[in-house]
Amino acid sequence: MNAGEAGAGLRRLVHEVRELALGDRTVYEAGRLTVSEEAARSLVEDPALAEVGLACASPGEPVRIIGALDAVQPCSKGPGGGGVFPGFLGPALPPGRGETHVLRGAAVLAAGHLPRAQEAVIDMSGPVAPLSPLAATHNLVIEFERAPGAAWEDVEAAVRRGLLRVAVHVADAALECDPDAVEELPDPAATPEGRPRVGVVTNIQTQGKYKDVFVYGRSLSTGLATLISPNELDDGAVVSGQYGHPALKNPTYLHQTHPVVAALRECDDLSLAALVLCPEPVEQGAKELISAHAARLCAGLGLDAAILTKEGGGNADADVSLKMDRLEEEGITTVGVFAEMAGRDGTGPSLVVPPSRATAMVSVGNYDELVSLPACERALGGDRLALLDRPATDELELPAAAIYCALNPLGWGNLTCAEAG
Amino acid sequence: MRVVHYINQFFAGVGGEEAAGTEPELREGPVGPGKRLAALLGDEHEIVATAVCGDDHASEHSDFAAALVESAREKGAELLVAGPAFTSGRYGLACARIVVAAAEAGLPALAAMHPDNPGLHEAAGTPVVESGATGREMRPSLERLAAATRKLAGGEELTADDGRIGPVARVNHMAERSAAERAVALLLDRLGGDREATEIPLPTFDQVTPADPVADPADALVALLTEGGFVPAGNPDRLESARATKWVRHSLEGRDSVEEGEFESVHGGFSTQWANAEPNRILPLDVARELEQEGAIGGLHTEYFATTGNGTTVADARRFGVEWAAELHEARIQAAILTAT
Amino acid sequence: MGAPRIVPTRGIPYPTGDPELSSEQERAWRRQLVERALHALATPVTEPTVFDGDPVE
Repeated sequence: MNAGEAGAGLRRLVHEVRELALGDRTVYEAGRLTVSEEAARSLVEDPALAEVGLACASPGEPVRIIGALDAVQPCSKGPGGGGVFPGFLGPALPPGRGETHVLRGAAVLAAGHLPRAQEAVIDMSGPVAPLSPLAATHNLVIEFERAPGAAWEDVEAAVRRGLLRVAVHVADAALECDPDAVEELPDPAATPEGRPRVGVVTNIQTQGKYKDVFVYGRSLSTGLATLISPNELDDGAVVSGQYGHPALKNPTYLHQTHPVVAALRECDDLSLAALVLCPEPVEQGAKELISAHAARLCAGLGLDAAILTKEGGGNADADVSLKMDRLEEEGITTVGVFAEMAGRDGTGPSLVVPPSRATAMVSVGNYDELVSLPACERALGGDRLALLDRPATDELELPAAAIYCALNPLGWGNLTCAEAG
Repeated sequence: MRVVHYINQFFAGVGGEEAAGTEPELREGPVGPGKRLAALLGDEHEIVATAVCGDDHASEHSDFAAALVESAREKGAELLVAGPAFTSGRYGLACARIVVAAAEAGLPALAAMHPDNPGLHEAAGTPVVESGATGREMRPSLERLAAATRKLAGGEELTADDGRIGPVARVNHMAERSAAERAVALLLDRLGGDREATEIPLPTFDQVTPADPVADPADALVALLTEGGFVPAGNPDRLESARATKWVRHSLEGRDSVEEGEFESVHGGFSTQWANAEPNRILPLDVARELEQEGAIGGLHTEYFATTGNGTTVADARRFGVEWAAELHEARIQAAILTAT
Repeated sequence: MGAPRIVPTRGIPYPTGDPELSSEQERAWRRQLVERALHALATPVTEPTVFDGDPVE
């Protein structure tokens, strides 16, 4: 570790992936990542899984991935990961310092069936591809079948562990390579003075099995707002186990590359001062408590402004709206990122629970509007789309809600919505 | 222009609630309020036929609209008008559905109804002009409808000046920058003193005029309703766990409680472990039955209605509401307790 | 959301229950909620109104 050189910040060593293939050995060289099929499979194998398949899906290919679950950006701080994905692979301790090797442009993605998972579709080419961040990455796709009689909880845990292990395994291949770019991420405490201090308040879903997100390997479901360094995200401090709401989900990949955090790092007029993670409880009283407490925490941090994000559908709007209102009461200027649910024709009311005091909202689009997917050659993750009971490679018409991360609430996409005309 | 006019069974003189199941039919020339409308339209336009359908039939068979539009085209219709539906929910829905079907078939179309009519939101961008609240305001309502019809026939867009009401569609498109970048830009605008900037205007929700209270629950027939995805075990009707497009009804006769293993929730928006362990947590039949036996409730409806309120479109939810209200009216139910998850 | 008469409950997954309570206590709580709902139904309102207290006889 070179913590001394990088101080309390994080140095990101970026290796671009421009080509992906399966092979005998795992090698990264000059933008080409070859993954040993045998090594990757053995990292995923588990008594809860009957069969594990590996496939590649790259941008522009006539491939459709259905049943997309979590996706992870490959990263490593040293052989075996060196502390990334704390609580799962590394010890449950805060990461986010020293150096991290990142394979940019690649992802490890699981596809298949889990309980409560809603079918999520990625087209690697065609008109819908620009809606999904995982259509822009070279994906190592892990397909699986449940072992006869295995408990679904064990299947989910095995798939999650396998994804993280493979993500570290492939990033380890780049540890000795010269990076394409070196990016210094300063510690938030060291951000320049004199600019407005902005916090990113990211609500993470906490609705029980298959709809949970982990921080240092633990569920936040019974917790309160938690302050972590945004640099910890790059090292996988937040791992998703949330498989509902395909368009409105935040996979591990997008926590690692948090779009709002990235946009604030790029902004010369504002200081990224804090990342606050909050659970999204189902009880109204808990929603109110967490909102009021998070607002006090942000005020205590001396924040001037905050950007709020959520995960999930209409119920999660309430968590954003309540926090926006409480933050504005504390004198903190807020912007919320919202998905609209305006009906297929776009004429319904957009928000289930709008804020009452704070009104600055960014729209990631109307999730009910239909999109057309042309037929494709190959499907991964299943043969039939249960939602329409049709072959997965058919021409399909689906609501934007079914497209993986199409309305990503962390703000990845360019999709938005406005009055016609 | 050759115009076809849509009205319900009541205004066609077939009958009231007892005739609400009337099947769709096309009659020659103007009927009922269509006669005055024809006079107001003048010599340039002719009501060549009147499409009629019972409100219940229209509510339960959404394909009635496409079939009537097809018949209207066979009559040489060049334009379709519907209503006025005033505040009648099912009639308003039917008017909205038939103008949407006509617009989809390439016919100019418009409807007239009161702004409170739940059908207004079903019109999906097809023009609707304002009418009065009841048939007592038939004359001014028809005058406005006739004026708007003449304008539409002339190929012009209808605006608020013509009495146009209803929502404007919001449409997806790709912005130049990502939502995260736009959030940062919006924050800078706000920090710069702009207190208005936003991409989503604050929505206005439906104003619901509360029903009069029941005089005494001890004399009232009460229904239990829920949007908690509540179904008999095994979900025989395959009610959706999210984005429901339908609702279900099941008998409560002979039951004092809803028991574990017999009922469950298929709601996909929350963990159903608590509901499935004790179904009365979603549908409080055990205590409602107790209160009925003690005389505090006049009677419980013989069945419950349920849908799943999880990502369900407001349009579908509104339709369920209109259908539930019509069903409960017909069953002489005076009050309902709807459990919301 | 415009619902005219509202009785607040304790959690989305169990509108007429509370798994934290013993089963007798929970049934009493449920009965209280339904009684509040009946009281609400017999009360004139002009706008969305929350009924979170117990009926005064």
